[in-house]
Amino acid sequence: MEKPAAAFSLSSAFKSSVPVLLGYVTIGFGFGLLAVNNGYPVWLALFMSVFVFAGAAQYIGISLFVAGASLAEIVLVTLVANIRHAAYGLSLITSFGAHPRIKPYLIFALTDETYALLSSSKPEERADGGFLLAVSALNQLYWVAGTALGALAGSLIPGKVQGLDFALNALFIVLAVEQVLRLKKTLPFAIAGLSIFFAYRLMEGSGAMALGLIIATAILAIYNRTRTRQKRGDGNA
Amino acid sequence: MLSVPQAFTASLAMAAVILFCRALPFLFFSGKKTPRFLSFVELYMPALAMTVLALSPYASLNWSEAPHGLPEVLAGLLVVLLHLWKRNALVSILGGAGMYMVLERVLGV
Repeated sequence: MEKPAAAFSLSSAFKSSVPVLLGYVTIGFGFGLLAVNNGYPVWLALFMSVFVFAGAAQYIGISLFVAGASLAEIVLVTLVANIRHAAYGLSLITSFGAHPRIKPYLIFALTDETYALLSSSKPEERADGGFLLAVSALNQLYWVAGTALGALAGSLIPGKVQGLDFALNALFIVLAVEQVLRLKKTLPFAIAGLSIFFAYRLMEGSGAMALGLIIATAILAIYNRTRTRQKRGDGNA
Repeated sequence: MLSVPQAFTASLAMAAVILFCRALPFLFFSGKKTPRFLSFVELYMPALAMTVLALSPYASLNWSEAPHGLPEVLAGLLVVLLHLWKRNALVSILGGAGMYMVLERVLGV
């Protein structure tokens, strides 16, 4: 209570950001390593972590760069893979709106993890601009620091480490398993799996990735729609 | 593979797209009610996107050529099992990548 308000916000923000600290430093490290290992300079890795600041999207970005994807494909895949972020802001419109000066940065820095921390924070914390800013900025600091360490480590290793690419694939498998555990459903995963194998029958590389995701989203959206309709119909009968 | 200037331009485009995604609700909604499609996206898109990303390398694999995708499949299974067992991302990723490197060296041509 004796502490000035700003210091108080920072210390409570730091406490709530500790789980993200470990995750962001390691995943950021992996990103920096991957970028440099694929022949991109340290500064580009850092640039992406400062200005793109989106975990999975940056990893996907590197794999698209390596695949030689076109700008249109990169934009499309990034859009489809990140449109979920549009849903995050919805629950934060009121609390961000109360702090117009820092609002642009808060919106820019709204990653999955920052959203998770902010949306589960206490109401009085969420009303505190200092807390919102500190959580967002600390998380980005962890991410950029991890990237810097990984990129430096990558530039110390001579040549390309064979098999390191699989680490990226392993990360996506881990994230998919996490989603299975979260949703406790198998249908969306079956649809996505079939869609991606089907998409690779039609085209190659990053285009197939975007197509697979679009097919899967469309099928699941239609399925969901008909099911809600049916449920409503049953209710009326 | 994109050159460094091309990758830089692509990064700028990615930054713009992601900022657009994050700013969307602040530009168009007043904050009271979540549109139905967005709540669908919020619920399912991470699952769909991660599955597509995780399976893409398998969908583009050449199964008829030695080692017939064996390193990818076995290392991928190990990642799943490790993750269900320990639920520690670092352990799962390092275990899978290590297994892949070994298998590629042993089975690789």
